Amino acid sequence: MSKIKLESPLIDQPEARTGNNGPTNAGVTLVERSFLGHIMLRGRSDDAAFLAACARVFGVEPPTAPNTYAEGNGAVIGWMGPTEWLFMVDSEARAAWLDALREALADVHAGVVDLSGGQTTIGLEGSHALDVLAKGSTLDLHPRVAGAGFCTRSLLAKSAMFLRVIETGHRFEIVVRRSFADYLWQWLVDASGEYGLRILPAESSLALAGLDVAAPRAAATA
Amino acid sequence: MFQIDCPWCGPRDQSEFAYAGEGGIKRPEDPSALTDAEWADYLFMRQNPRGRHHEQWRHVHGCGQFFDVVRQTVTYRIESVDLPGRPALANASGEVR
Ligand SMILES: [Zn+2]
Repeated sequence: MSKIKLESPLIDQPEARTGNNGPTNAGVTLVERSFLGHIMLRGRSDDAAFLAACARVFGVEPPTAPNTYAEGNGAVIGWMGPTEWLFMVDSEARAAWLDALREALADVHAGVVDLSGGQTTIGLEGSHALDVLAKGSTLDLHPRVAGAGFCTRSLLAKSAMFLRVIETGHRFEIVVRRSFADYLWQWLVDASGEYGLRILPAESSLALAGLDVAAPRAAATA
Repeated sequence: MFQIDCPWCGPRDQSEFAYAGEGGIKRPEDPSALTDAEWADYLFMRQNPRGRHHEQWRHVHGCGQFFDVVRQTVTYRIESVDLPGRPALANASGEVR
């Protein structure tokens, strides 16, 4: 079998790969975080055996508070629903994490699906990042609602997205499906233009917020 | 457009949700014992009231969950939102005010 070439869905956007040498004082900075490990984890929030098995692998239980994410062992575990989490890791660590998860969850009611090839990650930062999101989103992203540790699925410019707040108010991350990535990138570039846009060369490392795993945040909207 | 207070995620814009039909409709215990008219009633007949309506919605672009809503079809005002099958909604279906 011939080898399948690993290609970002932003292959037709050269600046997403190389950067645009934009101004360092730009109001918005975009960066693709390509080829990360995206793993869908299914299980029940009220299943103690499932949570304990996850905790043995992650060092932290999947967050059960809606719209929050946790960080453990260099990975991100984002709440997507009461039975669903998106687990994100550096690309080199993906295969080992899949093996570890499948082994740890073999005897509990759970699902582990590798979605890595199906979506990509776009970092959106800067003093006007919130203004860009406001153009295409109906979410209330005021820091009192969407603080550090907030994550949610929602819509951005009519595209489905998974949004994560890395630093309150000015540093965000968007996970988008492969087939929508090129469109959403172009939309973000267009929406950012008026604030001055800097595009950084694509990276393959996971953005961590440095959340205090010992003290998970309460639900933002409770 | 209006907002819906998802039981899991809190208030979100209607564009994140999909309507999922009238709420509180129970599948008959023994479908084969029903007449054709009774089965058709279960399958097809809906209240469609002008007023208070028991509905199901799904947070399709959020947490993905189905839940129950009591909504005024005249004013769009949402009276209550709850997890599926809660007794708080037992008397809500089809009452017209
Ligand atoms: Zn929800």
